[in-house]
Amino acid sequence: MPLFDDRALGALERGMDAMWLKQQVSSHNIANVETPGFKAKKVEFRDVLRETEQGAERIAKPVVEEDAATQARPDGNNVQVEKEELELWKAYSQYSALTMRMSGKLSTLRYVINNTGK
Amino acid sequence: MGYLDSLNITGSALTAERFRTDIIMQNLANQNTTRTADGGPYRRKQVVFRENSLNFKNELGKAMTRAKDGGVYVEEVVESQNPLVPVYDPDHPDADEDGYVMMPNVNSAEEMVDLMAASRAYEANVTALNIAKSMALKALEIGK
Repeated sequence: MPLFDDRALGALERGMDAMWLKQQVSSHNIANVETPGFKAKKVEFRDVLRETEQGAERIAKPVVEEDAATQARPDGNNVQVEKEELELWKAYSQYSALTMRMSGKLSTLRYVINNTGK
Repeated sequence: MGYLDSLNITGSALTAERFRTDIIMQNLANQNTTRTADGGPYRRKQVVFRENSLNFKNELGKAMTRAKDGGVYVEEVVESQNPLVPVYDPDHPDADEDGYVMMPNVNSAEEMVDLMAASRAYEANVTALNIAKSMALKALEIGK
């Protein structure tokens, strides 16, 4: 197995990208809290199959969707700031967890590199 | 990854809310102004926000998503068409033959409420900015 071409690292990377996207979408919603007619966006994950060298792999692909279901204010805007702030903190916590796991992975690799053949 | 894009999204909102505050201040400052550059009394001004739409490029695999723009901008400043308020003040130089002066249609209570809303929206955006910043710093800690 190639040392750095690890599936787990790829998954962590995609997870971090997805959390970053969630953070951007929530920031965008908060930025438009006073825009008439604006509809809140949300990130949904869809299961898709991806072709890799090791065969097909199932990944969760993030897609940005418009939230048309929630009750709108009189100006047509349906952003709930509390919900968006919560989403931001959730994205932040998960992002932190992913970066920690990535550091763990890399330190394992570093250990292997530094301590083999001694 | 659009590392600075989310700072731009929040930054655009901070600018827009700041501008809104400026306009509210302008309204409050001119609530007794009877002479303007266009002639006639001052009319209440309002800002209209418009979404700067997010264009996400969806690609399977790495670098899945990337924000192109996003955020908000001030599309226009409109003047309120609400009727002006007649005030009986015959000594006023701008009074008509019946002694009424047309005063601006600015309602200070309304302006204060708007000001509070702008200030809260600004705070919410500052929180979002701080979270984006913390997330970016977390990414820099990888491998430490």
